[in-house]
Amino acid sequence: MALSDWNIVTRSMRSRWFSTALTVLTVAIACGLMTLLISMRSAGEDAFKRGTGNVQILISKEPGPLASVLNSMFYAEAPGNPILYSQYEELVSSYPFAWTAPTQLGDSYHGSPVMGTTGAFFTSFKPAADMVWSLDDGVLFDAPFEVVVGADAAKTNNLHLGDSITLEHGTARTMGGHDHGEFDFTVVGILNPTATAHDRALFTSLDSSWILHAHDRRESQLEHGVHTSIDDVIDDDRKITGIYASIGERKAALMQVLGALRADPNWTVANPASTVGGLFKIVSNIDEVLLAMAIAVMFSSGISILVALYNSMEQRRRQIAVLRVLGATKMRVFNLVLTESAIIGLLGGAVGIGIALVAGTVVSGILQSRVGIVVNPSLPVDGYLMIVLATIALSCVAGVIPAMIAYRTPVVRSLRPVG
Amino acid sequence: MVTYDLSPIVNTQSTHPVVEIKDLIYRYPSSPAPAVSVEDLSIDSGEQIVITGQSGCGKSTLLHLIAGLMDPTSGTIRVDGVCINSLRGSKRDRFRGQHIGMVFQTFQLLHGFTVIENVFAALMFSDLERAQHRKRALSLLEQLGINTPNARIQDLSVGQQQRVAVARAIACSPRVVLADEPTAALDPEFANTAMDLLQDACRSIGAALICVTHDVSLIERFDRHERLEALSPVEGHVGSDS
Repeated sequence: MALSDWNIVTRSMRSRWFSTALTVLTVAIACGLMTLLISMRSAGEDAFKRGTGNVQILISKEPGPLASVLNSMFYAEAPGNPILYSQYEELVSSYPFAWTAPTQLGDSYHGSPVMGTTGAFFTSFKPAADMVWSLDDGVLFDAPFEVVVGADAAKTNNLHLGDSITLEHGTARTMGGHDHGEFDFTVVGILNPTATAHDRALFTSLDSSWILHAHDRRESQLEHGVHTSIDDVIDDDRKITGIYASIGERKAALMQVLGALRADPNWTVANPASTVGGLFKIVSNIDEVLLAMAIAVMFSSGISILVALYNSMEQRRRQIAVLRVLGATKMRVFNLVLTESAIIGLLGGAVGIGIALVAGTVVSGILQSRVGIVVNPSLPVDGYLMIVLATIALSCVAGVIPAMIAYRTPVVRSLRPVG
Repeated sequence: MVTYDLSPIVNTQSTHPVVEIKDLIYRYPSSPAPAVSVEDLSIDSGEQIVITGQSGCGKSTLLHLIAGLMDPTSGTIRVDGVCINSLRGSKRDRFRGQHIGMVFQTFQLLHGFTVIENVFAALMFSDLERAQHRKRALSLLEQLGINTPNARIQDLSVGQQQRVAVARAIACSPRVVLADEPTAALDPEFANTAMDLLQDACRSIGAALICVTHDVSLIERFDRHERLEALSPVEGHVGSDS
């Protein structure tokens, strides 16, 4: 083995390992932050769009389309403005829907939202464009007080087939909730994961939801401890909070129906995919600020490379002068310093991507457990490659000044004995 | 005398003097008076010459001029027939690496590197194939009595460091070795051994040796002595003394 430029560079880095490690870490954090932001940016939008499934029209009485989508499809809050079931039936008969699924939200189990719905929710609604519902175990609900549990909800609440549970009125976020302790629900099915917010929810029949609310009404009207069955449910109890609907493949009809529905002030109508797109347009402004901050951090890490190498030049002047005496050209010592800078960039970029992947997994886990959406913050391989190359390029730019100092090292003066 | 088995890396069949200086004047940019003035100095292949003079007379400056590390104000310096001061940039650096070896008062070894890597450092700028570097460096170190090629420089004694400095200076089989106060950092007892080592090494490879020193006791060891007269506190003029 002979000595090579690589040996000289790596030896130089090892001789100042602490400073080198700190500089690499600075670059890595900046690169990791930027990678995470870039990957989360697209992954977040994809995850939200995925959660809207094949719903073309979401109808509710929420204050606006965004609230409607967030509350009815992502379980952000319990929708506060109910729709009478008779209104739903009238609406369905008035428009050429391919399918509809009425949904009723407002109850919960240990913080997990409980949705009252019909079989159409599982047969016609697809949680993601490329996915149909499937059961990990058991069957779909078929009778009142049977419940099917989403994959995350089952895991979080340790629910198994045959378990008996009672629901709470309201959700974890609403005030004034109370137990529906009089009614035992039985877990009859556990759903497979869909990587959407629906994994956090439990599902039961609309009848079950209506019986609970009829019971609340009767207790307030009659006496505590009254027995309530489906026969006690009156029209005023038959309420839902949202309608998932689709026109099918007929695009022209979709525009027509959307237009007609929007003209009716009684309804809040949202096209979930475009509403999510609109949300991300708003978020992108903040996103751009964060990205600008990440770029600023990248530049400051570039400055830290410059400072670290600049400070090392004083110690290395003698070494550079000796190499020059031995025959090293000015360009060669320039390249030695630039190579060192590039290596710091390469290491920083690689470690940064590692940090981004780990942080992305952590953030993704938190989002999945708290919000129920699966964000997959990853980029294509060439995306990562571009980030590493950009980091190396930035490091090289930062290394130019120290490399120029090496280039201009006064050989004779640097070889003078100290003292 | 120990003989060193070092084949030349650069084919040099030149009949020119190894170093030929004509009408050399060097002025510091800050001073109009010449700092070094050499009218005519010629050193033949294998010749060993000592240049003495008081501190600050320009001895080291003269060596730096011969090595092409500084540019003369006027005059020419030829090394192995090539006017080194007319070579520009990388050509001059490469020429220096291949034709000139240097030994410094404080050795100027690369700390943090091993003994053999210090010899490699000279070879890496030569035309010798990389595959040959290890064999050549090990052979040279063994001949110079260094049998710890992987020891770090800072772990060596001063005497051993001197040997490594000589090994590095002659590793490329230079035509001339320039020694700048090679014994100034050594005690008198070891200075003789160090000079034996340096002179034997140069004789063995046929390299000329130009040694500048203020130690007049070294004069008798050399074939030829030149004295550099101070032109001012920091200036010198070379004149034959023997």
